[in-house]
Amino acid sequence: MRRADVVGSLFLLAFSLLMLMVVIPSEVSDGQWYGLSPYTYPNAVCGALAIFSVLLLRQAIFKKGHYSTDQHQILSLFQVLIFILLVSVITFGVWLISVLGVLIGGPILIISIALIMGERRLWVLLLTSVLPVLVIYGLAIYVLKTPLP
Amino acid sequence: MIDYFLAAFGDVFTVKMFAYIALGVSIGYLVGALPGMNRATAIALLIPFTFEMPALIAISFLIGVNKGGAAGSAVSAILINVPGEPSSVVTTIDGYPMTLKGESQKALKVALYASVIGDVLATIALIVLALPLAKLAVGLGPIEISSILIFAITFIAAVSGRSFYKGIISGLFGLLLAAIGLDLETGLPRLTFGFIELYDGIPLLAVAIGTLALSEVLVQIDKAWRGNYAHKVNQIKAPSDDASRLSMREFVGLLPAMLKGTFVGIVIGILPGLGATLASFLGYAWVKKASKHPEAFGKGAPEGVAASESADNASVPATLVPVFAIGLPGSVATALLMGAFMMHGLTPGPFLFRDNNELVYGIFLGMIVASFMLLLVGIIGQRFFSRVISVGDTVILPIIVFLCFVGAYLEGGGLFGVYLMIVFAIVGYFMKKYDYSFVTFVVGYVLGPMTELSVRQALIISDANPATLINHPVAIVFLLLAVFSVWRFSAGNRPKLPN
Repeated sequence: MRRADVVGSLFLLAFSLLMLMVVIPSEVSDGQWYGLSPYTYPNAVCGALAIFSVLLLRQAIFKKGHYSTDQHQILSLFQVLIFILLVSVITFGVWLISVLGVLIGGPILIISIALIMGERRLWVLLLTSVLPVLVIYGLAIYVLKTPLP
Repeated sequence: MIDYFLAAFGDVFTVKMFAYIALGVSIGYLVGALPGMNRATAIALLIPFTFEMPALIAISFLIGVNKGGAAGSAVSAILINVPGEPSSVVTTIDGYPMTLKGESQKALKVALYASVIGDVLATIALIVLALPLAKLAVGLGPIEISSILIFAITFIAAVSGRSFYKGIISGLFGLLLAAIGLDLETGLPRLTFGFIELYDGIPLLAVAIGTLALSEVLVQIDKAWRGNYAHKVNQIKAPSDDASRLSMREFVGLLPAMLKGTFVGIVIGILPGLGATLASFLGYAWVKKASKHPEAFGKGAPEGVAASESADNASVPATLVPVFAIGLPGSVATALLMGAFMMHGLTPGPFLFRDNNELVYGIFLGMIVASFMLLLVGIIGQRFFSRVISVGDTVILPIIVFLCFVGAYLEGGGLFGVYLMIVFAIVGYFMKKYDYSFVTFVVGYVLGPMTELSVRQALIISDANPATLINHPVAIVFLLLAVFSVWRFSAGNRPKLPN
């Protein structure tokens, strides 16, 4: 966890400095104000974020005793690959729903996740993908009267 | 007060209201019973389905989910030694040994009755305490509110995670996200990166569903792949084979433990950020210490189950005291409930009593109905819920992914909201992996606009002169408490949680 905290605090420090120096000056519109400039609140929050990132970095480097019982490590390559695969499948599933609609894309998304998790029983795959999609689709369209893609 | 209850009586005692409360409690119970799922996730996923409901039914339904989730988490804790939620970890200490002794039915009944007693008494405490506190809160100005919010976020950051610094960083990240959208005063876009969809800010449900539900699915799948997630289906002792019963004499003997747990749950629940887990730990520790047979604890003592479950469920209504009184959420579930209030056009806080009196007392009545519904659903459905926990993750998790999609889509952001949700799922995954408190993050996000508004008003009132604080002793007290929290809980000064 110490290594993770070092990496994390450095990332957060870089993020808050980027926000303070680049993003906030360019992405906040100025206007007429009385109590608090539109810049002040995000600047104050990012300033505090930078300070606490430095404090976390200091803790991770100098206070080794604080981490004696922690077991967490930086993610392994295998975990990173699984994570990327899952996020990609979910994102692809959402894109598929936007193109083909919920009734076709929904079951494909559910089946893909189930297959990644190791489910191989055909009847389970069919039942757990088609039935929930039909129920939710009916609920959204006929009860909530909200269109789904 | 009686008049208000009588006025709300007609709205609450309807078949539709009872049906929705029963549905909410049942869904909550089911979700609570499933290991790895929690009530906050269920609330986040179900909020979009309440958009078409009247506010009273919607809020009562969601509170029913919250209450059911707290009670249901005991089922898997007792039967398979895997707590449905962190707050039921303590229940495993004596609940699972009772199952091993062949007393699973008795343990489940003790947990259910303790949950109901804790829930009913804490709901009464909420009704009694919320109005007087709200009356006090009405007298608070922006300077006091700003200091209370600063204290609340600091305190929640301090107590809700393992590291104070990570807690405060999470809270600040939530506050920063809340800055996205149109500026309160100038009305001009801020940090929107040219996306018109972000003019109203980042949708709450995209944040909540992403960081709570979808990220949890990613974590669970990751655990399943690494093979260290033991969903011990084969260890379930079939409840139908278990003839253990809870006699009236045994129940009366357990009442002191339930009342102690309830008291702890109410006190801890009212304080923001401490949460049900600490309540159940402290309730258990108190009952064990006061017991004449402390050596029996950990080996299947029903008092242990009674104390932890009553404290767990008592903290649920108690966490709503600061929501109704000053509009301050102390947990993820209450932050989401507060979001649900706002989506239905209601602003939680002291003025809710003035502007929507009948609705507030309707919600209180609905909560009492939900407490008794908890008993009914528990008694009728206990065997069913005991079976449901054997359903595999390969069935549940993919369906949850689809529900996440629908939930984020229905809030109104369309596919933009869905893609935002995926981004927050990635953020939530890393937060969970590296112990950044997502409780503080969500609370910070919900409180962000209120914090900015009150600080802005405070600066205008005080002419940005810190010396005017002298005239605001309440603000000074809360700012000192915030400083004390930073000192007490920062590295090296952090008190240890009960073992």
